[in-house]
Amino acid sequence: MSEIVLNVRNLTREFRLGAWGSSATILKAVDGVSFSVRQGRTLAIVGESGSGKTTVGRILASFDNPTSGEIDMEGKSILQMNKRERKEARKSVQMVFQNPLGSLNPRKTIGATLEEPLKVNGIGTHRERSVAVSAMLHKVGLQDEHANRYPGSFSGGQRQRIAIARALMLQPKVIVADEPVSALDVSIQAQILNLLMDLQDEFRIAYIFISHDLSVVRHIAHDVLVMYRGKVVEHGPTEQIFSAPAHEYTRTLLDAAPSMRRAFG
Amino acid sequence: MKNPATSQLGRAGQTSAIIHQWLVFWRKLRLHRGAVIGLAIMVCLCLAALLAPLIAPHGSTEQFRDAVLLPPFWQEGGSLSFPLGTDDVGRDLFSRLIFGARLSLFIGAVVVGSSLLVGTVLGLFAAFSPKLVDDLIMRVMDILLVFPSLLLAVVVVGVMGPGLGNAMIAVAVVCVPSYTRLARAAAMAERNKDYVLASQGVGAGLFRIIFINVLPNCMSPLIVQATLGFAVAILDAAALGFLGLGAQPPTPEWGTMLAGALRYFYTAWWVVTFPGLLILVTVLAFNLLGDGLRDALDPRIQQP
Repeated sequence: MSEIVLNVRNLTREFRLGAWGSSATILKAVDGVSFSVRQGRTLAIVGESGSGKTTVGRILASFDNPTSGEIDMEGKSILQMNKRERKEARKSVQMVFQNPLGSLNPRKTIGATLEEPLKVNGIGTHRERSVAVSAMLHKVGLQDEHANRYPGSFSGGQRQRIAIARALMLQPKVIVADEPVSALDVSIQAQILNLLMDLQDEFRIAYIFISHDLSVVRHIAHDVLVMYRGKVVEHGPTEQIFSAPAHEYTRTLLDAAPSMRRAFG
Repeated sequence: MKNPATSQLGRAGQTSAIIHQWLVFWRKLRLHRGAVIGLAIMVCLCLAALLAPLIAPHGSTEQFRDAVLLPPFWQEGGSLSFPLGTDDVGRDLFSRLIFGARLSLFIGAVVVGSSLLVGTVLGLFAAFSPKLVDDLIMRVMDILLVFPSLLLAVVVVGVMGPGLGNAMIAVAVVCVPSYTRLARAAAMAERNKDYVLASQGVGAGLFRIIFINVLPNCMSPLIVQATLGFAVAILDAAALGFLGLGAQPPTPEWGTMLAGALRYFYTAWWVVTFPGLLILVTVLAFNLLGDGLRDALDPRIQQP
């Protein structure tokens, strides 16, 4: 089995509700979550809205800090790293957002958006960077000439391809994809999912795939983690979760998903 | 796309994209008749200001002792060598007004430029700062907004002494809060968008996020406000000049000219009318253009 890139132990994130310290109620958005992700594998985090799945993703991508818990990146604890190591570790976890229109700067050309990750990290000369940008555009199924256009002139699926290309620019080990296809047409969803799987085969990236859409999860994930109210209620290989759900909440979730079988009675 | 101009990754394609954006913008602006009129007046004023020594028949402070308070050329006693007449010490009004355009546009540019710069930086900074710093900046701006703008400008000039330079600083200080509030409001709306987060995620620093990623998305309201601010700056500077707190005679500043000519209001109407008219037309032109820009830059108003 391939090596573990990300190991999360006992992750907890609390939010204080109410402004005044003493009377504040504490909401445990994430409560003692543990899991690990292996190179080239996909872990899906599923659950209803408010279950804490997005908070987990934000913490992994360093947009938020956990209240307690450990995150090990290739055996080293992220939270104990110094600033420089942390910055390096951060580059290895990139994020793909739900709505590509919001995650692309409307006043920047695609080329500039894709170049930014390299530019801010001082990688390559201008010429080398534009070569890297055009190579990445080809990888996600776009062409060179798209580099000069603005996000407004692309379709939703193309925009999500661009967002994926940006996430790949720094050659990350993990990509956190927060509902990456739920804002897209069903016909486009499959194309994007297949692109993600092709890229995974090529670059050996680990995906953390946050979703509420079980049919999509079944298609892409190797392992599934079911969250309910901040806690992990079930964790296992995809087939096992779908064929023999152990926890009652998982069964409810599976029953709630519309299926063809039900539609035909 | 088969078009050779856009088929390669490079500067050529980017330039054509920018030209295209300007064309779309111009098409929208053209629909607004007032804006086109305002723009035309503005271009005329700018040309007059730039070419002042070529257009003006006389110098701005040149005196003709034998031609004091001469009426405009179409009135009896007027002469074509002084098209709009002369003032109380025999200076050609037309020449002074043209040189005055130079001054007024300069005042507008300096005041708007400096207050826009300071206001925008403060506003963006406030939007991305911790609450305490944000509150501090915004409360100071609120205090500045409490005073009527001209009164505040008078106070600033009173502290620093009269003169054109101080008057410009005074008007600039008064204009800062409006830019700060606009920039902050726009940046607050942008701050929570995913592209800011994405930029942060790839390692961009705060400076880059604010000025390279967020600022271009906040420009529309600022451009509109700057155009309208041009009118306010010219008007306020003229008002200060009129009160004797701005440009000092014999500087050909429109407000100062107006103040000096007030005594001849009944005997020589042209000495007061033309500077006043020019202030009115200029301010109107900038306001019209500002309104047109507001419509053209508003993404909610889509052209059919």
